[in-house]
Amino acid sequence: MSDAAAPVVEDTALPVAARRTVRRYVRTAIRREWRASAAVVGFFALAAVAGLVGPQVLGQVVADAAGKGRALGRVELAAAVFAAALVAQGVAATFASRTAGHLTARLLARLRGDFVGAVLALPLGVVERAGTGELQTRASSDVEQLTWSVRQAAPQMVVAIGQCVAIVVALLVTAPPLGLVLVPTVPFLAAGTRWYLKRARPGYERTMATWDETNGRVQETAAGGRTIETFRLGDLRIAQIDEDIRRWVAAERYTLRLRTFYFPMAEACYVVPLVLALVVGGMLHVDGRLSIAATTAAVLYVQLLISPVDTVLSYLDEIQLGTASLSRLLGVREVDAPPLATTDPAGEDVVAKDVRYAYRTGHDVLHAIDLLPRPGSRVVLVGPSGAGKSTFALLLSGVHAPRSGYVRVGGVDAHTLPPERLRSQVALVTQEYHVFNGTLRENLALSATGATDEDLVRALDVVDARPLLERLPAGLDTALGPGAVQLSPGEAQQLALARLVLADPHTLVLDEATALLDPRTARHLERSLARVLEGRTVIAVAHRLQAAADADQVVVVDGGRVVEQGTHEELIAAGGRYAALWRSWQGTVAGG
Amino acid sequence: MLALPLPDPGVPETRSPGRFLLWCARKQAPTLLTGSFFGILWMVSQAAIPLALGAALGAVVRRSEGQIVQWSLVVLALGLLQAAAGILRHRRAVANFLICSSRVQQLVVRSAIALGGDLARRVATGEVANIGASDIERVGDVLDIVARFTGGIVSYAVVAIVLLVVSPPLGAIVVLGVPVAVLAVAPVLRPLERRQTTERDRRSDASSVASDTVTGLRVLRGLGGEQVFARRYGRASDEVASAAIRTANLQAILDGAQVVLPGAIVVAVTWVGAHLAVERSLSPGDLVAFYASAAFLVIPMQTFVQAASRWTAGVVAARRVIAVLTMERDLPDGTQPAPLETPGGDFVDEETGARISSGKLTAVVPATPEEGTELLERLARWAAPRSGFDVQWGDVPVRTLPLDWYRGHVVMLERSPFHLRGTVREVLAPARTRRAGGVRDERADGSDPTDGPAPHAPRPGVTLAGALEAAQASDVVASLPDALDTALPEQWRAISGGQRQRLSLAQGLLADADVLLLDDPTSAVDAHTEAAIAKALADIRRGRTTVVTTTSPLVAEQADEVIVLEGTARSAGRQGQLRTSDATYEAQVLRGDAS
Repeated sequence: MSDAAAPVVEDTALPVAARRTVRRYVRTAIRREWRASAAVVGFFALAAVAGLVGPQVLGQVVADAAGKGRALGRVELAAAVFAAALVAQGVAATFASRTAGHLTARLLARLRGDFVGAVLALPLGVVERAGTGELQTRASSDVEQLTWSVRQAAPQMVVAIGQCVAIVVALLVTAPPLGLVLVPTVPFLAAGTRWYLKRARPGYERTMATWDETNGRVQETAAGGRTIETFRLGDLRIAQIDEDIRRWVAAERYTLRLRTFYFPMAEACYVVPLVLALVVGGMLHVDGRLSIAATTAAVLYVQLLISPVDTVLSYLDEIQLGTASLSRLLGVREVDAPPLATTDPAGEDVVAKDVRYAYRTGHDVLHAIDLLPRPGSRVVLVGPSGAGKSTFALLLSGVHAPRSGYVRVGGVDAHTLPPERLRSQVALVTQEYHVFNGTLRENLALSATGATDEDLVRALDVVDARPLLERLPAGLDTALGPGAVQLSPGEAQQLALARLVLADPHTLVLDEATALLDPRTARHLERSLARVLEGRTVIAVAHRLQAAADADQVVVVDGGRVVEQGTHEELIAAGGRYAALWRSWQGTVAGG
Repeated sequence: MLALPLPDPGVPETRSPGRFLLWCARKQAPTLLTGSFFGILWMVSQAAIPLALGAALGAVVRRSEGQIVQWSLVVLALGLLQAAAGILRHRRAVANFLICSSRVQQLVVRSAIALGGDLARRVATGEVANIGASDIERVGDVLDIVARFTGGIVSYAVVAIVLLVVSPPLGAIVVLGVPVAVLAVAPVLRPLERRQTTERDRRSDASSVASDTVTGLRVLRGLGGEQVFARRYGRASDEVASAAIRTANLQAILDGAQVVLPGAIVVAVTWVGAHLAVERSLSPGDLVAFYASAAFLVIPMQTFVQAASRWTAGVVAARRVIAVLTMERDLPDGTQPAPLETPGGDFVDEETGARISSGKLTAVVPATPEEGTELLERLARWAAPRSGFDVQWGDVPVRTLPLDWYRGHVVMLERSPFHLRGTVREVLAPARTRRAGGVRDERADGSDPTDGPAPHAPRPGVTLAGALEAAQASDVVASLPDALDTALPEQWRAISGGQRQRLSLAQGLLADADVLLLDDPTSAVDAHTEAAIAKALADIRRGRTTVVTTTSPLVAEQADEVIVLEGTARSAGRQGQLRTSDATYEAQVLRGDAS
């Protein structure tokens, strides 16, 4: 059915935004929040500058202490300045952190909204092909990674860069020649960091992936306990999880090895300038070319520089990971939308002509299929698994475009109709159902936002779901989904059909839409549905032959071709494949 | 450096979260101790740098070139020593995290497997919380910080002693100031942790709305409702933003405090020190040393604060882990020893009176799907019969048999089972990928006594190809990109319902159990396929007890016996002579007036 033709487990590769797009997005986002952004930078800068006072004060005090005269007054003043600077630094840091927190919260909210908006605008064909796995990853892991990068790494980074700049400037102002002590380590630090980052990102991504894999398997072991017990897979699970752990530990070890080289190298690079500052500054002071106050302050500045430099380097990879996540989130906005029809469909006829389709180039699964259902009639597609029935249903409902030939609704190519317009014409219900986490009302009134309670109850009645409604403690307002009332697959299918009744398109494509119901319910449902659908065109893929007997037209599909077509009686009379199957069915029945 | 996963995770101490954490610590005492040793070396050499720096600057003040160079070299040596000790400490800390996380993972998995079908049900009803990755990480985080914490404590003590010796008043400021500064932020920590938890919860709420939206995207794009869901996500996302803002407000206070409180100690040291220096009772070098030492103490102070919050979070996580580790099974185990042979004879479900003939294929036509499922669950011992009733196998009440043994002989394939991920081959024939030959034989000759229950060993009779053929699933496998080596995602979402059902049936057939119970195994396949499956099923299970619930005439037709189940069971006849006059049979199988 949808079976053989389904694009299985294929890597669908949703687009990833280019670097330039990401930069533009970030720039626009910050420009839109320029006031808050400026405030954040301002407060951080203030805090950084206030943090520079300490070494200056200390240099002064050392000079005074080393000097001949007693300068208690100046010491008191210096201490008071230091204390005032500390208070200023504290206040500035508080406000900086606060404004940054508010700003990032808003930026992330907007980004999340943009992402989900883009997801909700994806063309039907892309949704069908991409499946939900890749989107799921983007919606969860990427959003989480980006949140972490923006909430934690970005502010730390801004603060640290600000401090670095302020300290270097202060050092150059206090003791210009000592600025040179920073120079020798720069090439080492730069080369080492580049070496590290190049390997770190894939390394950490693998660490995360293997950790997720391990945890996924643990979760699955808990959720799938019954299956594991049934098939006695306990030992195998333990072995598999041991293997997962081995892989995770190997990935952790790889990044640990990177750090084992990089960290000591970086720390050696931090201490060398300090030593150079001491020696060079000391010598300059001995030669009388640098005051003791300046020497002391400069040495302390060099030491003060260590911490922010370390912060910048250690958050670089977080920023890298965050950027990668942002590219994936923004990529969803770049999905190519097919060119949309500008004309409205005229009439309610659905026509498929010479339709061919392939999931993989060169492997057609539909070969020149024609179908001209009379508007208001009921057509049933039957045929063995893998015949291409579900694929054809997807084409009929405008999800995919045929490779050649056409499917037209009121004269317009179905796949070019925007989903908003298409769904008032043709709608598809398959046996893959989804119950949203929400109330029954929310689950029903997806598009029919104006529907009254009576409308909703009537729709439930049509699909024989009255008993369901009566079972629910809060009626239409009962919450459904995990942690609330769980529907059986059959009930979920009734729900899907009730949505269809409310959407009320002129053509309904039902792909095994009652397969999950027990036969008695299914049969009753089909009948009451048929009453309501009087005048609607119904194209149904069915595996229970009784459904075919009631149809206006039966189409037998095999190997991607229509092999027989006609009314039930005609096909029986023709004595072909359908007749044979019907006979075996009848034979059983008559066997009693 | 470490052998992970652990060969044996051990028997945990589960009386309290604290004891559990201590037990974990004891189990990895060597790495904790070496980690702490390097942690101490690392922090003490860092603490010594300000002192050496002070001495060097003192030499600068005295214009003693030799001493400047000498002390500068000491600074260099200490810097390199702390870099070396730092990375060794880091390596041990990572090892501590890995060992502990791995141990907890292994314990949780073993416990989950022992609980079998019970755990998922109790998680679903909220009886126990699901153990998330973050719980395991938080337990690991506690052990990770031990090395840093010990280093922090010792370095704090060293700095305090040196300062007290050189200048009691300055020493006193540090000794008293640090605990005050650490405790002063304590009142913020707990509310902050709460707000962070709220923020995390809101984030996970929004994430599940997003996930729900994405999963139902076909419906939304096909039938409409995008605006409604965009708004719904917008609301969840706004909640995240306002929770984040509330966190940020408190975080900002903490950030400010972490500047001001340690800074106040530095200012106080500088101020008092400056007085002493100007009065010549403290050398300028010592003043610099004290200033830098006070500034250094920020690091251990932050470590103390972090350790406190990790301990708090670790205890909470450990409590959740313990809840799973100490859970007991609901289903009672049998008290009899495992029989050497299967009891033989028919199955009788006393509650409905259904009799399942040994070695036959029985079709059960239930009035409602639930009734059929309940019968199979009683037969398979997934549910207990009402009190006063039993399920008999021959003349043995099945509840008296050991559950583990029973699972090896009676297999029920659920209507919608939980499908585990893996390649098709792994999923269908796990026994083959892991070990050749029969598992039970292996245990019988005692060659592998430590292993628990093992996967079914398919007999020579049922091959992978044979099972796939019988379940009409060969074409499903053929359509997969890598055939048998295609990886299927959780719940086999990548394939359609019909394909899933056929693969699942092949899995059930491969288990090759003495008694196989199939709950409506053809509900999602078309009539052609169903007919073929029914025939092949009768063949492949010939001579063995098989029960299939169904509403299809194509399946019922192949059965040796047909039972109609409506409150009680009644026979609808044998193959070739079905009593189609039975009203329920007619309604269910023939859909009333279809003939």
